[in-house]
Amino acid sequence: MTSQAYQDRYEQLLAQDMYSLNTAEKEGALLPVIQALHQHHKLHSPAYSRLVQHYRDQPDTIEDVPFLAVRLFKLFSLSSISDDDVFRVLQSSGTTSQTPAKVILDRITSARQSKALVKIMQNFIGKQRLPLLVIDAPSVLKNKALSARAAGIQGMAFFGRQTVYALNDDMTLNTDALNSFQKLYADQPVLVFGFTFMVWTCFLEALKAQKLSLSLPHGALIHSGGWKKLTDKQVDNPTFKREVTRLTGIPRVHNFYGMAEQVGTVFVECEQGHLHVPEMADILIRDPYSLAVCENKTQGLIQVISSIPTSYPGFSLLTEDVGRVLGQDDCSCGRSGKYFEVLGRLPKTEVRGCSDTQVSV
Amino acid sequence: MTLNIVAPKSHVAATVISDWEIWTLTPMGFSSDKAIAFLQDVSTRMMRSSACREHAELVALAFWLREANTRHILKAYNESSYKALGTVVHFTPANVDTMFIYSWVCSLLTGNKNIVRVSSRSGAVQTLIVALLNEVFSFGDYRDIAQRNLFIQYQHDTQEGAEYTASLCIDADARVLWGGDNSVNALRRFACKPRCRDISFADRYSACVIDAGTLVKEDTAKQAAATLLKDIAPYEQQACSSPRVLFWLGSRKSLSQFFGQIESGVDRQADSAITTKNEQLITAQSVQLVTEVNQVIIGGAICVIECARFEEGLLDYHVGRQVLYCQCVDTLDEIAESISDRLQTLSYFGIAKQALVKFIGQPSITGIDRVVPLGRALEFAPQWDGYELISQLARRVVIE
Repeated sequence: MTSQAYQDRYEQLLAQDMYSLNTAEKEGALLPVIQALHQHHKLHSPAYSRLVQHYRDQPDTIEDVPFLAVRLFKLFSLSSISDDDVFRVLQSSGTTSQTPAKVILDRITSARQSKALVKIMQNFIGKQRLPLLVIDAPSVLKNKALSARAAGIQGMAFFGRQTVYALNDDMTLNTDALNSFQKLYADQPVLVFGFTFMVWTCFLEALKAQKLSLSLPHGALIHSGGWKKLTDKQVDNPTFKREVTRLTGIPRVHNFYGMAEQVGTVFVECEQGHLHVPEMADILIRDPYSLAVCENKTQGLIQVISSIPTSYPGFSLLTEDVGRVLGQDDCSCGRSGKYFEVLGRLPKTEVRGCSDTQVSV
Repeated sequence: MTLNIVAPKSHVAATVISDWEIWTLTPMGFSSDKAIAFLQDVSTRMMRSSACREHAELVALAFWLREANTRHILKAYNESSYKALGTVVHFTPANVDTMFIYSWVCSLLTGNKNIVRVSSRSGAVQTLIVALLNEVFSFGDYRDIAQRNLFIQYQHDTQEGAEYTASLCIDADARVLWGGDNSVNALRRFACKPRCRDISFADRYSACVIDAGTLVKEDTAKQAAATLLKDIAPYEQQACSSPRVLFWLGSRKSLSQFFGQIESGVDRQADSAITTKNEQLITAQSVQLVTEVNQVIIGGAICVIECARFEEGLLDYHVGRQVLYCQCVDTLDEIAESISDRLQTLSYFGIAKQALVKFIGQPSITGIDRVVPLGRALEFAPQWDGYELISQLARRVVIE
């Protein structure tokens, strides 16, 4: 059961044009939704209610909203719905950590995620459904447990038609598929989607190695998934963009920041290279040493707030990503609200226990 | 990676472990002047090195290695006859960089030959110690010691590593096994001689108890706070003897007052890693999800999680990082209900020794091998985990 109060307020928020409210108006519109979510999860998630049992009744500002450490979704199964209502369980990719996060979804949360994603993305790529090239292998969708990778591709499929997969199941380039895609669509707008690291290694590097190039001069590439592995290879965002354009002719490249624990509310990079906060979400930067909210431009841990999830208590999460707010309401791309950048992750915490003198057999 | 001899650096060993010269050499005498002088030389150099002096644990180690201290430790054994066991193999942990030295020193003083496997994951402190050992090993005077004491490194979680471990175990006269329960059990499965002695240091945790009634004066409270920090700040609180639990003889209110007070006196950024606060948050929220928590104090250097009742299962969520699980109790006896034989050290503040002696004397208390004043939890003693290391690492000879 989702409270009517929440439902109404969320619909109002979604009805807004994305990126039209300034920061002050935004808080006025978002806070009631978040307050309703706080009450909702207090009522329906025993875990959330335990976590906030000593907290006062209601947050008065966005900064006051209690937050959960994002790693809790790896350690516990956190749900605000009955088992009968579980529609799917989303698993984070777990590439950098061994235990994947588990996110429990019901139909309505899942539908809200898709709708929000559409609303946000349309602002960047338009309303028309475009031919879609997915930089992945078709087999990724066949796995029964829904991985974040598959969920991301499914989410983007809303914007596409005639989806073509650029890779074979062994992650090599499917050159036949690429050739026919190019032949059909070189002269019209297309959408290309993939995960940042795979776009780089399985697509761009593979094209380079095979001395191939594409020409999709009306295309837009949307990619996400974190920069860590690319930073290790000393590939930054400008380099990435330059190589995309050089090897594929695609002029527009949008990175976005998002996570399995808050699917739907993504933070998309604008033409200026800034990540923008949409109406139905917010971010705060917190000092890693005190967890106090930082001033704009100061680096800290990214707290993400989403108005979407009612099936699991993850509407306010302290991530292990480091970033900083660059400004608000004044990005030259014309979008209102906060804009920020992601600078990396907290260093991996190594626990040196007594227990490492011998592997157990 | 193959097997590496990190000290003595100049040592040339046969390729096959069972062919090593060390197995065939005669042990040294019990309590030999040479071993004592060797340790004194290490101590002197450690004290003189500015790099070493930067680490409090090395200053403490240097102090412990002085001739006065080693002679004091051995004094208790002067009346009887002891001899070395032979070759002792040590498997040492990574969580406390200095630990491998302490058990080795006890074994060296009893005259044993030693092969010490040190962790390849340890940090700067271990590197400093190894460098110093190498320096002193190179003195001609200590040739006997250098031949009989090897510090080695190898990747133990590989097939090759398992073969090394097997060869070391099969010829050992005693094994000193540090590790978690699983590691110790895994090591003990390697075959050894019928009379081989195992000294096992498995999973333990430690607690402290503070009598709030004695903290009325501000100075006393400050002293308690300083000694508490001394026990939990080093090694990111990952040493077994660092308290992870605080039993608070007093009210919830006095507990929050005490921690409110000490936070102001602590430079919170200086000592803590950028990941610490997030790890504390994860621990605090995890504990809240599995047990009744009365309050969480997370703003300062120490994260205090006051549980309605402490249970040892909660330690699964404890990863060090200056986190204390607290339980308010009315009497010392109440502690007994929450603890088991896994409790190693109990450090105390504001409580009479007499009361503790009585408390420990109860047959139902199966744990607690050390009871020390708060602030001294990390001080190593040759009596550890209930073992008396010197006599365990020697043969007592009776001559009538």
